Parts: sequence; structure tokens; C-alpha cells
Amino acid sequence: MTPSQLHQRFTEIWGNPPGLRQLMAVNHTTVGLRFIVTAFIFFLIGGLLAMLIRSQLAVPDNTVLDHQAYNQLFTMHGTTMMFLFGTPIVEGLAIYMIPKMIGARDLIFPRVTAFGYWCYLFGGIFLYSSFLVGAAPDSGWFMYVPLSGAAFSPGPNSDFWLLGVTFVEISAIATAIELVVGILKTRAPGMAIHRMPLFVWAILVTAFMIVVGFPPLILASILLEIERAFDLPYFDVARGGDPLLWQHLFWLFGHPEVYILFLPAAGVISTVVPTFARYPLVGYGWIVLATLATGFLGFGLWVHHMYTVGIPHLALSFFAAASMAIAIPNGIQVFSWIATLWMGKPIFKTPLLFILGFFFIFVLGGLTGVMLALVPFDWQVHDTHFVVAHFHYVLIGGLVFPLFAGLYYWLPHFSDRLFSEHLGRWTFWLIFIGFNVTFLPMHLTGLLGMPRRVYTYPSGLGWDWLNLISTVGGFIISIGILVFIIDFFLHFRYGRPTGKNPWKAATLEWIIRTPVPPYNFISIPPVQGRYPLWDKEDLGRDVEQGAFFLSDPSSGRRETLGTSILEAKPEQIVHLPGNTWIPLITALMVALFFVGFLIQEYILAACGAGFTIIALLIWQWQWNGQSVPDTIDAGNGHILPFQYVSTQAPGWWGLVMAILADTALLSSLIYAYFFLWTVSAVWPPPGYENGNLLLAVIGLSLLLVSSGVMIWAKASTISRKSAYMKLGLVMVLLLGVAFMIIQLLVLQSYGFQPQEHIYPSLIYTITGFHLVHVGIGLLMIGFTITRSWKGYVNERRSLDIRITALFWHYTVVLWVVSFMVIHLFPFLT
Amino acid sequence: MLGLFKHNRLIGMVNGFIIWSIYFVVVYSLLSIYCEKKTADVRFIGYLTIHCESRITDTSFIDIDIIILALGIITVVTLLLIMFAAIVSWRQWRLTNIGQSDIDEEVQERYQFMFITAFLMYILSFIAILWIGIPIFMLIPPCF
Repeated sequence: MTPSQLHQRFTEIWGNPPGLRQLMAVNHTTVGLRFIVTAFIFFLIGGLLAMLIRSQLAVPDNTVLDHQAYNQLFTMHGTTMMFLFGTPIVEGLAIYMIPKMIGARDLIFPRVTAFGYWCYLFGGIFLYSSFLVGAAPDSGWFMYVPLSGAAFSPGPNSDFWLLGVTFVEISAIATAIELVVGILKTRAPGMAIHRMPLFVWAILVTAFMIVVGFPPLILASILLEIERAFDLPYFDVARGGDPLLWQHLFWLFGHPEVYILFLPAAGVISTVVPTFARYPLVGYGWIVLATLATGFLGFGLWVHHMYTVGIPHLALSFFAAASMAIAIPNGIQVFSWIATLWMGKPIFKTPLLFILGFFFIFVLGGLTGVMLALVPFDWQVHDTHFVVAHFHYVLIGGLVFPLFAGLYYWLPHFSDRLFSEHLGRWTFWLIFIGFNVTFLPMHLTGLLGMPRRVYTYPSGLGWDWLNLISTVGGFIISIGILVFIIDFFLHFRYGRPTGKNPWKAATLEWIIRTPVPPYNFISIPPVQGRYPLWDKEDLGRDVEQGAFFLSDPSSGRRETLGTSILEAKPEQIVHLPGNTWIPLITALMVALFFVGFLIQEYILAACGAGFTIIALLIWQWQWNGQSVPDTIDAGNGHILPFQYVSTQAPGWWGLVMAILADTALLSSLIYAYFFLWTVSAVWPPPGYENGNLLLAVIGLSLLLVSSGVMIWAKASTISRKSAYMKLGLVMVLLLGVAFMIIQLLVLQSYGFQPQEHIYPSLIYTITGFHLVHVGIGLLMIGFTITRSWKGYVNERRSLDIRITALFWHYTVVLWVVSFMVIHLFPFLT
Repeated sequence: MLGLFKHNRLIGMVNGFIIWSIYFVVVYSLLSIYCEKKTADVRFIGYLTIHCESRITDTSFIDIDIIILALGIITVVTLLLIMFAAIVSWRQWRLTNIGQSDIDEEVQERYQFMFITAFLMYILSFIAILWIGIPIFMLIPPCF
């Protein structure tokens, strides 16, 4: 076939359906763009809220907003920028770019991509619908208790936040899981770990951080929502709870979030700088090192948001030290980028201008960050506008400027047209000057003592002019954004067509033809270096002619190449699902659950949960690969198996990552248990005896036996004893049901209610969380039994049982840990 | 299972910071539990509340709280562990640099990258632990 025939055939296979059925699209290019556009719209809305805030603060005793509206606006501004703009736009960019950069045709779980988008969109709409009923969240984007608790926020304001943000976080975690698996398992052959583009490295580390960092906040949100709805006292001091628990869980998420936003932006810089410097990045290994180190150190800083809450000084010094130490990897990156520009011959186009703006702003933000890491200084400026200035320098400098650089850089890839360099420069200077006019004086406003989160201030305190200047600067930024929007729309009509690779960049996305086809690559090219397009300029031509992997579209299937984690050696063909309504339907069912919870119609919520489970079962049932042969010729002499018969199936890796996220959630719960234990005077409190320990031990034993039976059932599958496998699974199912009944009896044997005190509420919570896992495990077992009856599970295609077994063993381990915590620990003498 | 932590595995590359994470959680948790529990509830960790007194001059005494001693020992042991692992990774890197005929060139290139990254991660985590550990050795009252 000629390249144009191949293009036509691949487009038929990978294309989106027309009209309203576009909503079925799962393709990463389409969904990635939806993410980016939606996030940008939320950015504009968040910016609008900021303008209202600045208008109110422009002069003393102003009355543009009353205190209630002000509280709602600053809460929603922060929430929007962090949850509805920051995280989704970096994930959207990753969804759009990663497969193109690593030589894949799509992300590895396309339906999850689409599901992630719908959860994000519905979660955002859910949050903003609070304005329609006059109940927008108003307790700050950090939702500190007791302010956000039922006593001080009796309306649904906090519920909108807790449920809406959790909804959006489902999207973030689902997307992060598939980004990790996609990066590890579908890179172009030869793109070994030491050749991955640095943007890909950044996204890999970021996705890991999301998987580990978001669950603490999800847990905190669940606990607070349970407290608000059912009166369990996690944060209520009178009944043994502690508001500081919320702060710990929130900032366990909140601080890594800063690096979750910054690292992808750093990845953009590491991509743009070599292109415009015309020189390979100086210190590739150093940047990988810095990215990895930031991924860890970012988790050791959370208490620097809590210096004033009364933690011992020595403990504060640990966090102060970690907060300063993180300057090292960030410094390494900055020096690498500067060295690259130094070595090369930089071309000062708009994207590079934004990078230079980043240097100036981010370094200043980093320096005030080191100042704030020092406990005595932080005590002086805590809760003042100095902190507001600092984190805007870090976040706008560290995220927004690199993002604009990335937008200008990749815009020609998307639209095949160049933006106006003239308007681009106007955009840059307006935003850059506006930003510094807004936030540089704000440091001084803070040092002069102006507190955050107050809706107005009296004159005569020395804050008047500074605030007015900040407001003027804010409006200058807005004009800059407006110029960008004008440029964006004009460039479609007046922009000069660019053709492929206008910047002469080195990464694989630039060999894709424009407008971007839905399949990315007609054939998947092998890669031999870090800069494939600089190594071989005509690589694109060979790709188009089908010279490499998987260039035969005759099967009509969506296929991409699966490779090994470290060396990227071809090891399997990944068969990807096509367009389907199921992600949208599933997300709608999840929305039903959240709406039911919000309006306290718990039957409706239960229906939502039930329908979600049914939708997920259909989702999984639809995809069985029965029509697919075990192996095919992938081209270049490689006969490769499909993932259904591979031991390296992406689904298995997806579960491993999901378990990692779940472990983070449950570790946070165990942390909460011990935290509340440390603050209690006596544990268990007087009058609370252990439940029926004998029954609990029997339950544990049943679960341990079930794990053994599961091993037997899995072994039977592989040794072709299908009947034993089914028997084994049925036995595990029965043991699981028996365990659940025993657990309920054990809870009953305690003879107290979870609302009475934190001690029983923790027992109920941990047991309840685990029972949810058992329930999911039993569903998976039932599902696998049904599939095996249909003949879908056998010795060659054993993925179902391997996944089910892994989850079940995990559930058993969870209970062993939980059993020790709630049944043994309190009674150790 | 332990094979996952070899320096030519993805996880092995970040061993240094895995150790740092464990160290960080352990010292922060031990200190927090000690400070919260030493007076209120001595049942579980009561033995930790014994103070060691060491005479440094004839006229003055210094109280070294047992928790400071424990955290100090943990810090030193962790630093030694990191040093040992760093030396191993350094040697592995040196060996791959010399060149081995039985290893494919591409694999060797990857090993070089992974070993040196692992080594530098150890160095960075060593600095991070030392930096965090310094206040412990200043012998300030632990729960002040």
C-alpha cells in the first residue's frame, strides 16, 4: 500500500465517529485536547475569580464583595487553579503528548482516558453548580476543620467541595495509572530507560506522585464527609478526634501537589530548551536524577505548612531541613538548562521567551521558599500576603510560564500553523510585567502584616498603595491572557502554514503528519538515541512508508507495540479498544452517586454505586479478545503474542499501580489511627473492651485459608485443570462470604456505636474499608468464574485469574495488618 | 523480591531515596510518639522515658534524652548503610565503564546510566539525611 492508502485505512480504524457519537471517542489525541481546552476554560474562570478578589482588595474598606462572597471566591479560585486547571492541564498535555513522544499509537487504557475526562468534567461542573444554589465552598481550598465541619459550615458548601474534588481526583489517579503503565510498557523499540525524552521522565515521576500523593486527600475527604453526614468524630476533639489530622492528611497531598504541577512543567522546559538552543541538553542524567529526587523529597515537606500548630521544634527542624534540601535538585535542573543555552546558539522565539521568564520568576519563588522553610521566619509571615506572593511566584513561574512556552511550542503541531510572533511577544511581556507588578509588592504587603483571607482592611496601615498596585498588575496579566486568546483564534486563519517540524525539534512527535491523524504512526519506528530526529532526519518518511513495526492495517484492529520496561524490547502486541459509550455511562453513574450523597438521598447514592459496578462489569466483559489470535507478525521479523497470552499484560501492571494507590490510601488510614492514638490520653478509652477475639481470629484464619486456595486455583489454571480452578474459585468465594458475615458479628460483639468516640469509629472505619475490598474481590472472583464458564479463561489466557488472585492476596494482607492494628495493638501490655 | 532493589532495576535506581523515606518516617514518628506519650501513657513505650545521664564535667550534667540517643543511632546507621550501598553502586559503575566483552553494548550503556544514577541518588539522599539529622546532634530538648 502507498502511504496515503495506509493513512486512509489507519484513519478508518482509529478515527472518531461523527456527530454526537464523538462522545464515544477514546482516542488520546481527542481526549487530551478535551482535557487541555477544558482546563484552560477553568483557568479563565479561576482568573476571573482572582480579578474579583483583586478588585475587592484594590482600596481599603471596599464593598465590591461582602465577606461571604469573598470567602467563596478565594476558596473557589484556589480550588479551581489546583484541581480544575493545574493537575488536569498537565495530565491533558501528557495524555496528548506522551504516546506521540514514545512512539505509541494510543495510551494503554483508552477507555480509562475517556472515563478520566468525563469524571474531571462532571466533577468540575459539580463543583461550580454550587454557585447556582448559592452554596459555593467557602472554607478555603484547604478546607480546614473545624471551620469546614458540620458545626461551623452546616450548609452543603463543604459537601460540594469534598465530593466534587474527590470526583476530580478519581480522574487524576485513573489517568496517572495509565500514564505510568503506558510509559513503562509501550515505548518505541530501543527507547531504553536512558533514552527516554525528559518530558516522559517528568510525567513518569509525576504520575507516580499522583498515585501516592492523592489518596491521603481522598481519605481525608471521605472521613470528613462521613463525619458531616453520619457524625463519626474523626476531627471532633470532644470525642477523641483531632482537627490536626485533617491538616496532616491534606498537606501530605498538598505539598507533593506543588511538585506534581512543577515537574511536568520542568519536562516542557527540558524539551523546549534543547530545541531552541540547537544543542542536546547538558546533563541529561542530572535532570533525571533531579526529577527522581524531587519525586521523593516532595513528600517530606508537608509539615512546613504547619509550623505554627505546636509540633516540637526538633520535628519542625526535620521538615525545615527537607524543605531546604529540595532546593538542590531544583538548582541542578536550572543550572542544566542554563548550561544548555550557554553551549548552544539560542533562537529567541516566543516559547524561549517564556522559559526565560520562568527562570526569573521561579528562582525568586524558590528563594522565598527557602526563606519560608526557616521556622522563625515562617512564624513571622505565616498567614500573610508574603506567603501568597511566594506560592504565586512558584506556581505561576513554575507552571504557567512553562505551559505557555509549551503551548506556543506545540501549537504548530496541532494546527499546522504558526502563531503571530508579534502578538506572542506582547502576550509574554504583558503577563511577565503584570505578574511582577501584582506579586512583587505583595511580599512587602505581607511583611507589613496584611493577613490572607480577609475581605477588606482599614486604611492607614501602609497597605493601601501596595494593594492598588497589585490590582493594577492583575489586570495587566488579564490583558496578556486576552492577547493570547486573540492570537490563538487568529492563528487558525492568518497563521503561516508550517509543515512538519517547524522548530527542527528532535523528539518523535514531530514526525507525525499534520493535521494529527488519530493513529499517530503508520509504522512504529525503532529508536537508537535520545534525539531520534537529529540522529536520522528522514525517519518520518520511513515511518510513513510502513518500513517499521505494525504497518499492516488489514486486521482492522487497533494495535500498538508493547515493549519491556528497561530496554524497550518488543515483547507483545497490545490490542486496544475502540470507541464506546461505556466510559461516559460509567462516569454518569459515578456522578449519580455523588449527587445522591450531596442531597443526602442515600438510596439514590446506593443506586449510583450499584449502577457504577454494573457499568464496570460490562466494561470488562466487552473486552475479552476472543477474536484475536495468540500471536501475529509485527513486522521486522518479530512474531509477537497479544497481551491476552503475555505474562507482561498491561492490565496486570494497571492493577499493580491501582494497588499502590490503594495502599497509599489505607496507609493514610492506619496513620490516622496511630495519630489519634498518640493524642489520646488512654487507649482504648475506659469502658471499651475488645470485641469477640475468638470470632475475629476465626475470620482471619478463613481469609488466610482462602489465600492458599486461591494459589491452588491459579496453579490449576496454568496446569490445565479447569474444573479445579472453578472449584477453587467457588471455595474462595464461599470463604470470603463467610468472612464478611463473621466481620459483621465481630462488630456487633463490641456493643457500641461508631459515633460515640473516635476509638469505635476507627474500628468501624478500618473494618468497613476492608469489607469494601473483600466485596470487590468477591465480585472479581464471580466475574472470573463466569468468564471461565464461557471458556475465556484457560492455561494460555490466564490474565483474569492472575489479576483476581493478586487482588485477593492483597486483600488478605490488608486484613492481617488491619487485624493487628485494631485487635492486637490496643491491648498490648 | 529483593532482586527488585538491584541497581540494574528501575526501583534499585532510587534505593537511596527509599532509604531516606523510611528514615524520615521513622525518626519523625518515633519523636512524635515519644513526645506525646512520655508523660500521658507510659504503658506501651514507658521504657523509653528513662533518661541517660552522662557526666561531662565535674560540675555540670547534661541530660541526653533516650530518644535523642535512639534517633542519633538510627541516623548514623542509616548514613553508614547509604555509604555502603553507594560504594557498591560506584564499583558497579566503574566495572561497566571498563567494558565487558560479554555484555551487549546497548545494555552496557543502560547499566552505566542506571548505576551512576543510583550512585548519585545515594549521594543526594546522604546529604538529605545528614542535613535532617544535624539538629538531632545539637542535643536540644526533643519535645520543646
